[in-house]
Amino acid sequence: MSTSPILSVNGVSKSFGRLVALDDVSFTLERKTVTILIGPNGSGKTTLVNVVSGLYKPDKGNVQFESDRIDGRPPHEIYRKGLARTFQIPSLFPKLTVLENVLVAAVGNPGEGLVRAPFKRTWVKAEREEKRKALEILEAVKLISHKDQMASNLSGGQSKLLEMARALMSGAKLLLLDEPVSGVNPTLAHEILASMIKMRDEFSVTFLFIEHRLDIALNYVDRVIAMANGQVIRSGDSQSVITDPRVVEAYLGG
Amino acid sequence: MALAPGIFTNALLYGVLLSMMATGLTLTYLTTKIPNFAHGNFVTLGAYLGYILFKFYNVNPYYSIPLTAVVCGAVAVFVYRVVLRPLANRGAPTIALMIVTLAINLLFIGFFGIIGDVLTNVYRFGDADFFLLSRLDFSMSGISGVMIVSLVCLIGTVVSIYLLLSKTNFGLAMTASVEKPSLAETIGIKVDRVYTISWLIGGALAGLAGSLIVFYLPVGPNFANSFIISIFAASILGGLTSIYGAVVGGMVIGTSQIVVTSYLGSILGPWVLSYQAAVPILIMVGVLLFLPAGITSISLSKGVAKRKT
Amino acid sequence: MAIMIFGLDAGLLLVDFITTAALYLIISLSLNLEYGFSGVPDFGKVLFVTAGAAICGGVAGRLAVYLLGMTIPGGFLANNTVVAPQITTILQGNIPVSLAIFFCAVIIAAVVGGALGFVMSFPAIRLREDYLAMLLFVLSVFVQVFLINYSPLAGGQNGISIPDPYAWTGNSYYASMVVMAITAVLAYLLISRISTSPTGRVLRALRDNPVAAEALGKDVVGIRRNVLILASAIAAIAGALYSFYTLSFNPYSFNPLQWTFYPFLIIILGGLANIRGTLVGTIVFWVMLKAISIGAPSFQNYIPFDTVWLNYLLPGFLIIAIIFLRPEGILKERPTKTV
Repeated sequence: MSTSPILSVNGVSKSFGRLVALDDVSFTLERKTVTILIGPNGSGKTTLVNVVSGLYKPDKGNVQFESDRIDGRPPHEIYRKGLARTFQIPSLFPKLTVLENVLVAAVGNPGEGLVRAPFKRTWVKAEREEKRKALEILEAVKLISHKDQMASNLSGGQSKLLEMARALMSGAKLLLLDEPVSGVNPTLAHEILASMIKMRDEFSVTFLFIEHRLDIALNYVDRVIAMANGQVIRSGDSQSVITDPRVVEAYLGG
Repeated sequence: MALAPGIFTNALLYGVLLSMMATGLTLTYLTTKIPNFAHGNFVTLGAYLGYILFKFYNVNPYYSIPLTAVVCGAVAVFVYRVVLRPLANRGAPTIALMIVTLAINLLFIGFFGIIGDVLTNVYRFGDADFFLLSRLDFSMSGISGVMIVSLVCLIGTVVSIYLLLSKTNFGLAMTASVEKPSLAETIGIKVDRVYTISWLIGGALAGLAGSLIVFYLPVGPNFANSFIISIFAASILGGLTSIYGAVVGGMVIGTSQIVVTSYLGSILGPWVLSYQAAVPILIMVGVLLFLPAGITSISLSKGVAKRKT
Repeated sequence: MAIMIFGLDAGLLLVDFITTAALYLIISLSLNLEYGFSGVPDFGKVLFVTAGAAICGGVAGRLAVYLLGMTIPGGFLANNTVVAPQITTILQGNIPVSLAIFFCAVIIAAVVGGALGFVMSFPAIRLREDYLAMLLFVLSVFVQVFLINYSPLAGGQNGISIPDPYAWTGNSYYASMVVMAITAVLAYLLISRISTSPTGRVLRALRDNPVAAEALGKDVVGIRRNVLILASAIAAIAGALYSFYTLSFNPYSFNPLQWTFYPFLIIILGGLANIRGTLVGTIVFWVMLKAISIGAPSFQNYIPFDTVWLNYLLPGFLIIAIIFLRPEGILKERPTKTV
């Protein structure tokens, strides 16, 4: 059981033209933790997530995931390594059921290939195993009762849960979430965040998420990273971070 | 080797008529985004109307043009409002709508076939299945009347469209509806009325072309099928969203089909001529693969050809 | 004593019905795989069927001449109408050569079809679906124009006669029907198995949201390409079998109405992405069509127009009715039932 941080961001800087989005950002994430990334609009949170997930290449610095350098690698390669990321607008397969949406996320199913497909024996065992795993995950995110519904029939909050379920299915060890509970009613928001805790405990998944709904979200996090103007200004447990005068000023002033 | 002089007027006439048809098609596509495979049938309808009015009331097809254009426009509106728009509003994908227009194409062919048979069997018109009225045409100093009238109509059409688009409120509404329909809706433009009128004009233009074509080419129930590819090729060449492009595209496809194959035929041998149908196809394939936005997407600025995407 | 229906031999009617229904089932299954499951609007389906049929025409006779060691002054092509029946007579007693030309023609047709499918996959990735549909449609018309004008391959506009590879069985019609039916069953089993496998699920995902599928690490391009190769090969095989059924190839008989539009109608009627639906759709539509063509001569006298126009009105009307009233088809798309 490795005790090194699962993610380490070292001196990352990123600019777009003259706009400095990230300025020498460094932090680490320990395994099996839930961390929230907060900051006013324009502080660089989304850019940071984009850099870590491979959408952008940093101008300076590096990103290590599980002791592998991942900065500059393409997103699907990073995805295959176990780092998944969700978007604000869930991107599901509308004509597939909830269960199928999760099953498609499995990596390396031997039945997914025209040559093997007609020969059931070559994939039936793996498929059964994946179905079992998918049902387990759906159970964890409380979507199990919807498993045979069309994904297009899900509500906004349920879609986000499904996206998380998909990321889990792919065996992601680190999940980056972009505003997982925005636009979601408080009850569902609590459910989603509680699911995150459950996944952390049962599936050993680490979470880093961006969120503005601090009133709800802060109850569920192990750690808070606060950003402003492209820099990390404070990180630690929620109490100490949000009472830090610099953080308060960044939120009220900017 | 010189090409026969008739070739050029032939090509020109073909190009002019194609331009008219392509303009109608582009008009309906750029507003409603539905590629209408039944557009050629509006042309055929115009031809049949001209033929029928002549056979029953002895009206020279030139004089029945206004009526024909109106009827074809109305039929086009019917097709749009009754069949296509409800499906589009229900969220039917473009491919489904294209298949529906293919189905409408079939319905028209069946309908024209039945009309032709009825006219032959009941009214004893000998040419109802396959008619050509070039004998009714006039000529001025050696040029056939249809050439003159078609050219005049095309020029009139282009000028009218220009005036309509740039000088009228409707033109403004249409430009807005095409570029930003949701925005246009919020500032009070009845986008759907714009769409309906575009189908009206598109159908009318097709009907106009059909009335003129009876003087030039023999028409039968399947007539649209021999044309529809050239019409699409012309529209696509000009850029499916440019009306003036459609005019240019029509002239290019029309003239090239005849001139190019004749020219190549005189060099390479007569076998080339039978490939005449392949010319618009090859042009269309080339455009779709390499320049999908058509020739109007190439803008020349400061001497450097740039591509708009 | 032959049973007569409307003045036609019931036995022959049945053979024709089963053969052509099986033929359309094969083509429609391949189209459903392409469009219903993978979302590729193959408006050029006729192209692949025609290619297979043309290959059969171009290969079968010449191969027979070669294998039988015949010498034809002027070549097979120039004399095909005379020589082909002669070959047929010889084949009645020559099973090895019969099988050879059968399998060679079908296999080469499949390979060529697959190759064309491979080529098709390139624009299929890059073009928007309505442009792709138009492109494939015009290419299919081009191929027809080409085959009409290019004689050396399969006779150009005169077509070509094909020796009968079933002559040795004693009853060519029944043999042809059996072969077509067996092929249809095989195609059905194959495509059915693919559709009830994780591949079927992935294809539907690709169709619904290719960007998301890509993000999940799926090889969108590769999977689609393989599907197109397979579907096109199957369509070409159908074309070759059709040529062996009619014992001729003529490019004029391969028009987009019958060979592209009818399959689309069948899969939409039966239900997109539903294999059993395609079977249902084929049977329903084919019964309708054949009912018209059989019954037509008897009520022809009562109507002032030729019944042939009903062959245009029926499918046209049917498609519009389906898309309006029950767009998902008779049998709806169902989740991929793997385990």
